[in-house]
Amino acid sequence: MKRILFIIILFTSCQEEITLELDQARDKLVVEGSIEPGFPPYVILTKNQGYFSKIDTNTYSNLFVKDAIITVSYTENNVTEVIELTTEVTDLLGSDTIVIYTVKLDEYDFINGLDNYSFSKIGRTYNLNIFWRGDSITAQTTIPEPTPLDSIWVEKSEFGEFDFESEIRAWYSDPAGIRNNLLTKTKLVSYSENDSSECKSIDKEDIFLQLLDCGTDILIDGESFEFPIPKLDNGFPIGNYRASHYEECENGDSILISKEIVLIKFCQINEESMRFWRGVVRQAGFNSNPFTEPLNLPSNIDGGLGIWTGFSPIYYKVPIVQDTTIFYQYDPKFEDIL
Amino acid sequence: MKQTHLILIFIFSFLNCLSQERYTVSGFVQDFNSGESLIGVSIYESKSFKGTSTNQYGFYSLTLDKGEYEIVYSFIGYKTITKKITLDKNIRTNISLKTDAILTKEVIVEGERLDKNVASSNMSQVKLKVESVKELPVILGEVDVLKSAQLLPGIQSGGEGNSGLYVRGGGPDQNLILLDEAVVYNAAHLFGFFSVFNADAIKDMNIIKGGMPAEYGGRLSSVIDITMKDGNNKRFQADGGIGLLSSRLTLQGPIQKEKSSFIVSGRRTYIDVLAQPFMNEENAFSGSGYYFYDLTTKVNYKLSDKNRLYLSGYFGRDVFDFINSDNGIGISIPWGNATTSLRWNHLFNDKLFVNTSVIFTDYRFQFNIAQSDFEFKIYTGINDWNTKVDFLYQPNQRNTIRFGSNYTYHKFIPGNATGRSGEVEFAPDEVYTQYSNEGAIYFSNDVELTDEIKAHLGLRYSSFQYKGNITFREYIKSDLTGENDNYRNIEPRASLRYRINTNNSIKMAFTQNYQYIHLASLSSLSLPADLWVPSSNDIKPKFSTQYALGYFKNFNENMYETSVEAYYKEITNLIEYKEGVLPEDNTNTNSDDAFVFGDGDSYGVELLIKKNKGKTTGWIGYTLSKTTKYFDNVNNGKPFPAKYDRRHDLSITASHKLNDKWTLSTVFVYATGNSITLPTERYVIGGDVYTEYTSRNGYKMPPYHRLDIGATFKPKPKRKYESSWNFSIYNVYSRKNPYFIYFALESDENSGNIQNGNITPKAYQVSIFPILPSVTWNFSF
Repeated sequence: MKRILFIIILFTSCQEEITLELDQARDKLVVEGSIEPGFPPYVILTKNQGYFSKIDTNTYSNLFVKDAIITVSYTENNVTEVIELTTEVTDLLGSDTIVIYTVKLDEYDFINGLDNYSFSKIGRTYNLNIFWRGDSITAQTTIPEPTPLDSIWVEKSEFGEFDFESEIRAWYSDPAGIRNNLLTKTKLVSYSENDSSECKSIDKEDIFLQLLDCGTDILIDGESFEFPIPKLDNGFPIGNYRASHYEECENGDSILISKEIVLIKFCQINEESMRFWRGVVRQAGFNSNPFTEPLNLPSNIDGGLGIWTGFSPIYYKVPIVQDTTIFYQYDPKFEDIL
Repeated sequence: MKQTHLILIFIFSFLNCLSQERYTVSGFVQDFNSGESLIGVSIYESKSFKGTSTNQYGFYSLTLDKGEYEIVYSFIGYKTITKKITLDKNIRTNISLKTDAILTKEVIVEGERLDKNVASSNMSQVKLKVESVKELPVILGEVDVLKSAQLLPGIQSGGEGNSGLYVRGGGPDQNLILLDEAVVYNAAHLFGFFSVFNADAIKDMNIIKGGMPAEYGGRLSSVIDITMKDGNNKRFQADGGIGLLSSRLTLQGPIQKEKSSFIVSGRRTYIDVLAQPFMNEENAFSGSGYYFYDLTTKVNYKLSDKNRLYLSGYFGRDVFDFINSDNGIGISIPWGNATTSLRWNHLFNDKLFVNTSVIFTDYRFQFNIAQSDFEFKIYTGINDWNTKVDFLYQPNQRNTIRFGSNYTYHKFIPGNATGRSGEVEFAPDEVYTQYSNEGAIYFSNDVELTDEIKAHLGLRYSSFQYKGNITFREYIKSDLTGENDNYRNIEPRASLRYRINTNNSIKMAFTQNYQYIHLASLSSLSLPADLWVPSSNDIKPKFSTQYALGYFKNFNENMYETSVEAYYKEITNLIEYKEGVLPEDNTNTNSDDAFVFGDGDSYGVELLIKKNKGKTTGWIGYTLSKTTKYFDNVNNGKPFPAKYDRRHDLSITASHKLNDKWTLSTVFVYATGNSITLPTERYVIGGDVYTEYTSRNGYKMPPYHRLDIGATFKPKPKRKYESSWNFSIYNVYSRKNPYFIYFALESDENSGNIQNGNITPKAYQVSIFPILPSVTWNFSF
C-alpha cells in the first residue's frame, strides 16, 4: 500500500531536482558470498562509494577488490577444514569486470564439474574470513535442507495480450512446522530479440541469475499449493514469458522468434540471509519513499556490508513451450549458479 | 512519603470551607434556540468574580456563603445574563442563553470567562470553537478541526496536508483523541490529508497538551477531547454544504420537544464519482477509485431533571480500490473507525454530578489483493469495550473535586493474514488475537488555597493486564493479588497558579503519565496499516514526566491575552521496529520480538499572543523546541533528532469582520523543515545499486511556509433558510513546500542496474499542494 501511495503522489505532485550535501561515506568492504551444496563457495568483494560519487563502467570496475585474502572453513567432529579462495577463476569465466574469488583452478573442474564438491554440504555451518589491508571481516552461514517443487509447468498467460505470452507455474508443498525461508532466482539462458530493421533474430542470454523474490513460509506453512513464477520486467516480477512465435519486420516479412529458456534456482536459506535478500527486494521499491523509514539491508557481515549466504537450491531449466511440464531437476554447472 | 503529603493537601483543602453556612446554585445551561447544552459557560458572582464553568454536559454548580448575589452567565456569541438570587437555600436554575445580534458585528473568540487563562490553574489547555474554525481558510473546502489545532503553539503538524498532531515532541500515538469519550484510534481520512471529524457535527474541542488532569490517562502527550452536538430539541433543522471534494448534510430535531433530540450528520467525497465518466469500461483501470465517508449520529433523552441519557455513534470508512484489467490485478483497501457511546448523567444533588459511560470503539484495516486464482488478505485492528464512571463534586467555590474509574477491555488483532491459491486456502487455525485489560481510578481537586494560589492536585492509579482473554473479575483479582503480568503505576498530576494581580499569573505543572498500548509503524507518518500493540513482558509501558512553567498576562481589559510557557518532557520505553524486521514477520502471532526500545526528551518555549475582542481577532503562536531520541540499537547508539524536531514553529491567524456579510481571514505558517534520513553511501550487490543510511534523521528539509486567505460571505438570511459561501486560497504564493525527498538512480536505459550503463544518482524534492483555490456553499434551513 505504501508503494501505491508513493506512486499516486508522484503522479499528482510537482517535483524538482535538488542538490544535497551529504555526509562523507566511510570506506567499507561489501561482501557478496555464496556457498551451496556440491559447489565451491565464491565471494565477490567490492568497496562502497559516496552516494553521489560518479559511477560508470570504469569506476564500477575499480570498485572490485582483488587483493584480499579469503578463507572459508567449517568444523565437524572437532576437525576444522579450511579452504582458501583466490581470483584465478575470473579469467576462466570470461568476466572482464567482475572479480570472483573461489577455490583454485586445480581444486575444481569449473568447466565440466557438476555438484561433486564435497566441502559444501547441507547442514554445515561455514565461516568466512576476509583479510584486506589490515582489516578483518568475518561472517557465518548455514546451508539448510532443500525443499523441491512438486512440479513445474508452462501454460498460456491468462492476461497476456498475445497467444505466445506464457506463465511458468509450480506446485509446492511446504514442510509443516518448520520456519522455511524461500528465495527464487531466475535468468533467461536463451532468448531472442527482433532486429526489425534487419529482419533477423538475435540470440541472447543473461549472464547472472537475478533475484525474483524472497520471504518466509509464515502464511503457507504446511500447505501444498500452486503459484506463478513471473518474469522480471525492469526489476519487477510482473512479466510474461514468451513462447516461440512470429513477429513482423519493418519490411512486412515475418521472423521466427525462438522460445525463451528459463533457469530457475529455487532455494532455502537461513533467516539472516532471508532478511537481507528480502531487503534487497524491498529496497528497490521502498527506499526514498516518505511513507517508510529508510531501510538498510540487514547484513550478517561483521565489519562490512553485504551477505554471506548458504543456499540450498534446486534448479529447473524450463523451455517456454505452453502446456508442457518439467519432470526433472536440472544439474547446473558452476557458471549456472552465479 | 510524597503521596502522603498530597493526601494531606487534599484533606487540608476542605477545612477552610466547613465552618460557614453555604448554599449552592446549580443547573444546566443551554442554547435558547436549539436547546443544545453549552460547554464552558462562565458562571460567576459579579462582585467577587468567584465562579465556575459548565462541564461537558452543560452542568454547573456554584456554592457560596448565604446571601444575596448577582450571578453572571456569560458565553461567546450569547447575551450575558445576570440573575439576582437570594441564596438562603440550594437553588436549581437552568439557563437558556440567546445569541447576541450585537456580537455578530464584534466577535469575541474566547468561549469562557475572558480572564480564564490568567485565573485558571490549568495550563497548556486550549478550547477551540468550531464556529471560529469554520471562518479560517481551508484546503479544498474541507473544514478540519485537527488542522486548526496545528496552528496552536506546541502542536505541530506532520507536514503538508497531514492532520496528525505532534504535541511537545510526542508521536501521533501519544494523543488521546476522544469523540464523545470514545477513543478514535486513527483520526485521519485519505492517508492523513483530512481528519475523520465532520465539523458540522462537532460542538466543542478541548485540547490539553500538558498538565493533563487526572481524569485522563493512557497517553503521554495530549488529549483532544471532542464533543458532538446533541441535536436541536426545539425545531427541525437541516444544514449542509457542497464543496469541491465532498458534500455533507446534517439533520437534527426534537424527538420529543425539549426532552429529547437527534442529530445525524454525514459526508462523502466524490472524486471517484466525478472520475467515472473519464474511465470507460475499456480502460484498464476502470473501477479504480478512492472515496471516504463518515456518519455521525447522536440522540439524547432527558429522563428527568436529574437524569439524562446520550447515545452517540460514529462510523467512517476510507475505501481505496485499484484495478488493472491488463494483468488481472485487483486491490481493495478499506479502513476506518466505528464508535458508540452510551452515557448516563445523574445529578445526586446540587453538588454531586456523575456520568456513567459504556463505550465501544473499533478500528480496522484490511488489504485485499487478487490476481487470477491467487488471493491474499491481511486484516489488522483493535477494538475496545470501555466503561467509566466520572464524579464531579463541587462542595464550595474553592474546590472542584473529580474522581472516578475507567476500565477498558482491549482486543488486538495485530496482523491476521489469509490467502488462497487456486483451491488451496491459507488460513491460520484461528485468528491470532491479543487481549488486555486496562483500568484506572483517579482523584483530583481544583482547589483555591488562597485568592492568589490555586492548584490542581490529582492522582491516577493505572494498571494493565496483558496475559490472555480473562474476565473483568479475574483482572481485578490479578490486580489485587499482584500477579506478575500486571503493570501497576501511580501517575501524579499537579499544577499550580499564583495570581500576581487581576491580569498576571504564574503557573507551573508536573505530570507523569503511562501509556500501555503502542502504535508500531515503519512509516514516519501515521498510516492506516500501522499496528496497535499492547504492552507485554517484553514491551514495557511508555512513561513520561513533564514539567512546565508559564507566565500569563492579559491586556486592555482582556482584549489581548498573552502567555509564555516553557516545558521539559522525558519519555522512556519508546518503540521502533528492529532493523530488517517487517510487520509481516509477525503475521498471525505477536510482535514482541520485533522491536527495539529507547528514550526521548523534548524541551521548548511556547509564546501565544491572542486578540479576543474587536472586529479583528486571531492569534500569533510561536514555539522554539528540540526533541531528541536515544536508542541503543538505532543510529549506532548515538542520539538523533525526532522526525518532527522543529526548532521554530510560527503560526499567525487573523479574522476580520468587514461588515454584516463579509468576514475575511488569513493564516500564515512557518516551520523548520522535518528531519529526514538520507543515504550517505551506496554499494553494489548482484550488479544492482543499494543505499546505506548512516545518520538517522540527520538532514533537515527546507523550511515550510505558506499563506492562506479566505472570505466568508453570508447573505441576509431568508425567512426559511440561510446560506453562506466560503472562498479560500490555500498557499497564496504557491510555495513549493517539500513533502518528501526521494532519490533515483538514472541510467542510459532508465534502470538502476549498473550493467545497463552509466548511473547518475539524483535527488528530487516533491511538493504536493501549489496554490489551491476552493469554494464551498453552506446552507441551513
